[in-house]
Amino acid sequence: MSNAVLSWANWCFQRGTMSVTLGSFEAAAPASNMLTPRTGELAIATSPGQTLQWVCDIGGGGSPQYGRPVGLIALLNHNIVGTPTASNFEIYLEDEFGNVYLPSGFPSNELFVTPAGEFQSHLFWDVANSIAASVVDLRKIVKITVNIGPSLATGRIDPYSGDITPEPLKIGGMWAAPSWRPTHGLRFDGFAQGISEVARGARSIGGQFYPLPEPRYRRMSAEFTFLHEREVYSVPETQLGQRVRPMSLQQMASWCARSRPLIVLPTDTDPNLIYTQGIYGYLEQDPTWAIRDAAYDDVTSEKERGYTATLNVSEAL
Amino acid sequence: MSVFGITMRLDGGFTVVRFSSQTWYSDPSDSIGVQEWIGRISAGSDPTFGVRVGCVVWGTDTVSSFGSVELVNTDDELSWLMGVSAQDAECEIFLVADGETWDTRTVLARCLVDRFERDEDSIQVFLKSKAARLEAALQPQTFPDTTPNEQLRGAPFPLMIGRVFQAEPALVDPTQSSPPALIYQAHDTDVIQIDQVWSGGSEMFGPFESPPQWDYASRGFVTYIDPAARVTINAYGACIISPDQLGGSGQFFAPAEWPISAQWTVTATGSATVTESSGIGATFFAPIGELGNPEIISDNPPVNGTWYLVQVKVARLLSGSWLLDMGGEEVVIDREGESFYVLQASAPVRIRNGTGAQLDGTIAYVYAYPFDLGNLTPGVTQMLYHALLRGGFTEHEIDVTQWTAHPVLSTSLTYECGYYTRQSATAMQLIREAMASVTGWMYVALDGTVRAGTILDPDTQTATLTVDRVNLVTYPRFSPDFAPGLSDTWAARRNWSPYQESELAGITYTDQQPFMADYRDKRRIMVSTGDGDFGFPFARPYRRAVGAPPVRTLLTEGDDAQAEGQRVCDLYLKERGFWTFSVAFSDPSAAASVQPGDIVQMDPDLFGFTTGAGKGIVVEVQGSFRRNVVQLTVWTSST
Repeated sequence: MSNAVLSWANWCFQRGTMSVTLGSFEAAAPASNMLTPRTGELAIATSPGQTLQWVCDIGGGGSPQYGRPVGLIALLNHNIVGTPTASNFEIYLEDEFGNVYLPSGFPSNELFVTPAGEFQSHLFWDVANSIAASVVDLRKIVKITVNIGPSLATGRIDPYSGDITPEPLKIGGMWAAPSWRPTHGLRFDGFAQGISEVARGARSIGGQFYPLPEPRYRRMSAEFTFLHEREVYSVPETQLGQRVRPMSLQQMASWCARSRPLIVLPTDTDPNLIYTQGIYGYLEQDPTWAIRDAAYDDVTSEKERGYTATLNVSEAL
Repeated sequence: MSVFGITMRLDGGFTVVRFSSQTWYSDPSDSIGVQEWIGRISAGSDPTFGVRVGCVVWGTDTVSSFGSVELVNTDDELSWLMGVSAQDAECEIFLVADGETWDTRTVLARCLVDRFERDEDSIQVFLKSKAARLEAALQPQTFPDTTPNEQLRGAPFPLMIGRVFQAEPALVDPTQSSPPALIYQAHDTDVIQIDQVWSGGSEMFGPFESPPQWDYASRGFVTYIDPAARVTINAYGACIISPDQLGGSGQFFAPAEWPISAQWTVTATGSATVTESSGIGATFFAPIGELGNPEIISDNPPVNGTWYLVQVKVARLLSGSWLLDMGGEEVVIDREGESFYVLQASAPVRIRNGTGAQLDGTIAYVYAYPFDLGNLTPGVTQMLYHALLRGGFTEHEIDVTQWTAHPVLSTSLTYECGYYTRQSATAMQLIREAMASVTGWMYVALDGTVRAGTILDPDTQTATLTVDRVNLVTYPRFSPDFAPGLSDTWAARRNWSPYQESELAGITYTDQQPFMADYRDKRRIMVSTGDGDFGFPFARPYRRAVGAPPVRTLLTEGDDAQAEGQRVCDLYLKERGFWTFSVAFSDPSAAASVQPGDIVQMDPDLFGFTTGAGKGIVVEVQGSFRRNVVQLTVWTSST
């Protein structure tokens, strides 16, 4: 699993402003609900089958605008159940230099694998891995525009029969954040996923159980099999005249700790697995790491210390 | 996986806030369209509820309790709630199962907000039963500072409900100046009928006798003579209201959850915001905004000459007062909360500034209920209904059909009764006395409606719940019923102000006796034992009830008291007691549906009952809204 992608510090939650330029959302469930980390707080279109366009501005809205690095874009907790086409689903990216990326059809239809109907369904788009750097500067994104055409099916789908109940478009969150791809990724044999429920209930004196079903959520645990020291602590670099640090485990730990969300895609090579294994949630424990051994660095060919760390994530609802 | 939600109508109903265990939305097809319940109720928040009904025989009162809901406020986004008027705000607690919408939700409770409390990361919403409204003064009106009789200034108006005997009215004007008569007040509106006016043991001549010594007057009567002794009256109090007296079906508005819209007219300049109402004879509901100096008048004219009960709820009153009239006498509205006024109509309802200065307040709604005085029958039902209206309950919260369908109350609530007070009584006190007269209880159910019940033989009833090892989650515990309030004597026809012997100088000693009694009818419940002895054969623990102080009722007829006493004493031919146990249900809504008064069949083997026994009446329910287990206490026989 060397293709694991992690993303945190969502600009939409932190500094995004939302404007609806086509169509309309319910007053009690406005588009701005996409700017909260609580994916249960939905933006709900006023009717199914309408043309919608909304713009999430993460550039500060002023002039000049200040773009932010974006490596992963996600639509969290959406109810899109139809197959998107070039004409009914588009995500435009605009950088602070005015360059606009207009995809000719969404990169991968498999990203919209039919929702199971029992869990929140997320679209994860690894833009850092799919857009040529010459098209748009992903380090300086200022706007993300989403277009929804009237033919895009939205609604609830029965997980057993496949029956679809049409509903207006619902989206619980919008994500545009940097992404981090550690060199060695996650360890295969330490990877685990499952379902959790804070189950309660009562048992009668005759032994009968009376359950109280509670919301279920996904969990995952994995290990970073070998992180180079520079991936753990990072080293300051100069980019475009600004001192920045490359993304690192320590940066993730200090930003997220246990109270800010992150997205983990255990692998980004298979769109089906991106959908089914990708998780938006919170770290369950305070992040820690430990020296494992020394090794030769892949980049510098110098001997340096290697680190291991565990990653336990509970899905945020 | 149900969503647990709460809706609160704060700030007099103008601010609606919605929270839930996970963020949830009503459907566009719902009657309220798309609304958002924010997922702020913390996972560990499991508000409790409880009600224990009591009755005069057990010597216990009915008590309701609610717990609190914890709202997550780690981001400080809910702190604004602390600045909103929340006390007594209406509140609904509900569950929505998968696939359900707002219109198909299960309402677990309709209750009131008591208060908000806040710490660094949460806000606690403390809840209370709507029964708390009944702790408000039954009679909020007091004698003004200009009352000629200085003793009465600031004292509550007398309150007369039903048929009363020897009630002492308030001598409002002892000066005999204008008109040349003594003015007495017996109620806050006109009394229906005065049968006798007594001066000590001497009866005054009425308005149709010659020469008349007394005559009807507003809220009471006048006497044309200076009485030699303290004056009392036998009379029928006014404004006993129930749907039966409201004419037709008794319905004046669809019992929708929230009132419907209608219209008023603003007839002067000022800052009135009037958005709703309909008209008299139907419902009119008017949330009136910041009412400054203008008048507002109902668009729909009333039936002139008809009596109306006008129910006004003041959501907020910071300064000033209103005047309310229907073409005749003006009454002052100068307190927050529910108030009731009986007016004879000659014009539409008018509300105007009563201070002459700036008025700062908000009226939440106004209802007018026309009723037919000629239909008044002073039964216990009417007394309860009247007390509940004065306590702030509206018609759709009072489920009279539940009372009248009750196997015992259907009869006993029709007994004639009466109540009189010149003290600061509460609606709850009146209800307690009225229900003691029929050995029952009244409580506000979780759904917010007022329900009633009484002790009866559970083994003659049909059980709605069976408890055995399959659904019991605790082993049952038994405690005996000592029935401390039981007696074989039942009292009726109360003298509301007994005379002393010194006040009855004009009549003979033997004639004095009934005027000095506390109750004119005291009936002994007896059976012949066959050997010439008479006495009631109570089960052994209750033999001390023979000759015990009488059960005091509000009933006016001795025969009714005797019938009720006989019924209750018969129940104590067996030893009685209370079983307490916890029962599991399929889901929380099923658990919360168990009500006091429900009949439970208990497993004879487990509880040790003999064949044919084992049924009990639920008298206590304790649970929490997010659990499927409730603790029940049932009243039953001991074997």
